[in-house]
Amino acid sequence: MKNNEFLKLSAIELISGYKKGSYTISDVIETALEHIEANERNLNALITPMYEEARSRAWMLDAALSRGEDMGPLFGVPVVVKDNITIDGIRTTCGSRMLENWIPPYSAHVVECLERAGAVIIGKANMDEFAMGSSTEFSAFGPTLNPWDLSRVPGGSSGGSAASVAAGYAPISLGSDTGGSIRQPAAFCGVYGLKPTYGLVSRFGLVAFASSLDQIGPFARNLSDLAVVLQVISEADTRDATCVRKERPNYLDFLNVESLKGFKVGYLSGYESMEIDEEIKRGVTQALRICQDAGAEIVEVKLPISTRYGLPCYYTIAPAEASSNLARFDGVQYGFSVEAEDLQDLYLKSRGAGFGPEVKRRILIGTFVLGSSRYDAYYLQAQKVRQLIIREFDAAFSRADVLLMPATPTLPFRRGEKMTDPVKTYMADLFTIPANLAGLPGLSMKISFSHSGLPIGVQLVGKKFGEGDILKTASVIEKVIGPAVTTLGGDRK
Amino acid sequence: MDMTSGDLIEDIRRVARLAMLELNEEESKQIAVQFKMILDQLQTLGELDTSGINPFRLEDMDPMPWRADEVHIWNRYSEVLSQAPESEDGYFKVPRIVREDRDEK
Amino acid sequence: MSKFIPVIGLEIHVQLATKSKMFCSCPTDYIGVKPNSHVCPVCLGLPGSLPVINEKAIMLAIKTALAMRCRVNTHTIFHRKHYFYPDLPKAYQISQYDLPLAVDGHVEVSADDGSVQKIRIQRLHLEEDAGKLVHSAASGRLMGAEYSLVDYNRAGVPLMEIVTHPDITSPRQAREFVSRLRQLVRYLGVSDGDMEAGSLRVDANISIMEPGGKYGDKVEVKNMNSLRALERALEYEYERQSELKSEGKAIVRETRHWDDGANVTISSRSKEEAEDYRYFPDPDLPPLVVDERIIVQLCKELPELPWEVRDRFMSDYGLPLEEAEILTERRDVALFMDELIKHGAPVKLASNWIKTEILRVLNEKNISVEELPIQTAEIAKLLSLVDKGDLSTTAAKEAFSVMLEKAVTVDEAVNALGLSAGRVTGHELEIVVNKVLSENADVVADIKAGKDTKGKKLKFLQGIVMRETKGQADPKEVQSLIMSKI
Repeated sequence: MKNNEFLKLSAIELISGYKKGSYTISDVIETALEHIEANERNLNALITPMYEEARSRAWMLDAALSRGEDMGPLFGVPVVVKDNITIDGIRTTCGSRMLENWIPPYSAHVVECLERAGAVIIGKANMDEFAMGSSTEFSAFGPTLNPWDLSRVPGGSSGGSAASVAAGYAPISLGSDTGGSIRQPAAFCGVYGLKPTYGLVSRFGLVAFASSLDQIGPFARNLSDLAVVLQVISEADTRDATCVRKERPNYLDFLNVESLKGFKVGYLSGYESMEIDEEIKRGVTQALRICQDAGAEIVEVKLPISTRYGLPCYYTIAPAEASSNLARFDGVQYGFSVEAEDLQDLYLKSRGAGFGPEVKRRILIGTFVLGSSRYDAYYLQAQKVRQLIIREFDAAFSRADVLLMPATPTLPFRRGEKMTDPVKTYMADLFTIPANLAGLPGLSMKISFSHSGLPIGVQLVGKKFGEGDILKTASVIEKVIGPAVTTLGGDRK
Repeated sequence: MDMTSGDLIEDIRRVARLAMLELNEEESKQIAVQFKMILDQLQTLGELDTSGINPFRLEDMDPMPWRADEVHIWNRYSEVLSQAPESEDGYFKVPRIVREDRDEK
Repeated sequence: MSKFIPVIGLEIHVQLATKSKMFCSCPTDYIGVKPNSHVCPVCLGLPGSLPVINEKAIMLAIKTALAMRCRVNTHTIFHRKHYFYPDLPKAYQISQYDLPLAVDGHVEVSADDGSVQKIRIQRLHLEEDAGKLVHSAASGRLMGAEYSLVDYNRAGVPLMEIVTHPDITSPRQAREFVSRLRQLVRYLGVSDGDMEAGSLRVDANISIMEPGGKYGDKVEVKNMNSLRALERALEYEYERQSELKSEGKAIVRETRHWDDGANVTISSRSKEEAEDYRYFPDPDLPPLVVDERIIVQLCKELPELPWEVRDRFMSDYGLPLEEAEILTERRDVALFMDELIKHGAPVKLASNWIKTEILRVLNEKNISVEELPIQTAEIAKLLSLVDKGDLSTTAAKEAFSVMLEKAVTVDEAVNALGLSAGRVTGHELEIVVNKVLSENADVVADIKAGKDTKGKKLKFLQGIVMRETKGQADPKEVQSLIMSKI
């Protein structure tokens, strides 16, 4: 096998090769690292590549493998982790100057899970600063480019994680999704990206953006890998009070279904008349037809409040929580700090210079809507609307088992295109935000490629803890259209 | 809520101070424009009738799990202090406090 | 100035006696501890850390609420209260806001006319403490300090805040209320209630009104570190406000600090604008749901409350109020009183003995009754010996100190002191009497000569014999023996 071929393999294929002795973990990791080194100048998908750590871990795992030790479901698999998820001893920047040199003395729960499963973390992925953005252009470490078209954005905020998987840096990666930050870049980069049900995956060690919306989830190029990672990272954790204690199913059990008989797939009534790229509409239709062909009943569902008011609801609640979560970055304990005359000066200047424009904008919006005189009209009203959105989804799920809809209204946009108009940029999250507000799981997956060669994604949204339903539906689609592919070696369709 | 731009800039200044964010002139102006657009969007929420909606459905939510009252010493505190911009004798150090925002205890 | 009536409401922060902090497993002790050593990512508010609530803190707060007859809310939430200050690592404090853990209770205190008055409790809620600042100024105070140092060991220690209605009508009553509350939290094992150490902190709101008139503008008084300071600060503030009002001057709504050395309250610099804390429900913490059964169970487990014990001591033991108050000030002492009586000690003697000997020892050694090296039964036995006249009070005290020092029984102590249980009698006593009479031949001669009409000289001899026998002779036997010898 040519070394480059490693980069196209799935996690499950890699492990099978290790077991057979076809190649070593070090072979694979070395190849991945060389590939990263060669491509980072263009792609800028990683903020911190972990060359040394990955090499020594690969060596250690090879030794353990040769001793015949039980290795876990992701052993030897290279993984990229978004840079707002802490790894003990590795700097965690959140794409911000504020945390440029901060080294956390603890690992996130999901990182501990990955390590127990034998994964080899090879780098920290680039992202919009503090996960605020839809293009990974708002990173203090420069933008990440879309591996399918370097003139375009990879989506965001988990753009680095999505691009890493699409570009063959690793078969899997982790991102976080507050308003679409996994699903939107997954769609833009032509890979799978899953935002789990709120409370399924522990947020311990995830630097908070909006605590009631944030959820960590996986990227992969096929559903089996995605299911394995979900299984690994969804282990219950007592350190997060919002992490549910219920037992998790075996997610692999939901794959390889033959038919969707008796299963109802909902589609969004009237979405065709919305301002959506025609090719994306065709992608949704194609996915619906596959489900129908597999025996699913296609039903119409209505989500008028979610589509009309989801954005303003989200852009009230998320900045409010962000303004609170980001108040701790004040130049006293850690992070960016300036020389200051007095305490007030220290706060104002450290925060003024440490945060980028989008973060500042959202902190200001959040501070504004939480102000005692505005709380009722803005924040509380948004929370009430959020309840209406939850009800609306409840009603939709009384008719359908999963919902199929666009992941994004547009194909990957050009770099710099939407930097100046925040409201327009926020539209990128139109279809992803409602699932965050309602705490529901959502998956986006590549359905095809546009004429211009850009990936087209669709989104599946499930009931609370309905990850199984999503995987089941997606697996039927995957069987027809095949898994996602890397942009390497002429795989581009 | 209609605001003239003068009110808005004053409001942003006040909010920026509350949020402890220093903004330069250009940032203030730019943000004022965007603020207006964003707030216009947010205000559309007021169109919805939400009377009788309980924003926090306490009864429906999973209750908070409790932790047993057990002590675990975290012994890596010195690593935190070593990353502090300023420290002295095991303390974090902050510059002169001018405004007495809080009572001394 | 007596035409003004003080209107006082209190806000009391009580540090809960948990082993670990409110939302993390760090230890709660911070006094005399190396700075920033009892901390972790959670109480330091490091990025990615999350709070998980301490069960014990909830239980202790509910216990207190029930003892004050509050209604406990089964579904409550925690809010974030935002402000920037270096002692607050997350720049927000997790606290309860519009849905506190408990509401609407009361504590009884005495009115100035001696009748019973209820002070209504408005609310009781849970929150986390902030860290501590050390200022570089020579005074140790903020003003003039070039820089300040921050220690987060106290950050995250669980606090219970109790807010009263403005029902308190005198500084004395405020003091009594706090004293009762302190006694209560100690009885319940909820807190050590130490004001000097800061585990019980009182802020007072005081205004004055004319009888039947309107409430005046209230002033918040802080920094009172003892009951005495509280009472004096409120007295001062009452006088100050009354004076201003009498002179037709305005009372400024403000926060004032009690300066214990100067005996005055000093205005804190008023803030430029009203603080906007931007409260909102903490999304990291789901609702706090307390099962009704837990509340019922805690209610059943409530110990007899201090004022209940006091009333029982008065009715069952016939003790006067003041004495009952002293004996029930501490729960361990009150329980000890009950034990002594159960073991047969007479009430009067037990009461006196506790007030004098036991409390002295407990205070001197700073220990609880449980830490006394003597069995309660032994102390009861000692008191019974005194009661029967087998031991004099002086001898009993000597025996008691031996028992304390050597951790021995009454019998052993008495033997060790040569106070052989029983007494000096018969031949043994005769030897002592003979010795005393021969040493005091002049007195004997006087008696024989009939110069002891009032019996004083006989008493004198008797006293010497009693002293020589260390009080272990029967005074009547001594008297008859002396008479028979003369």
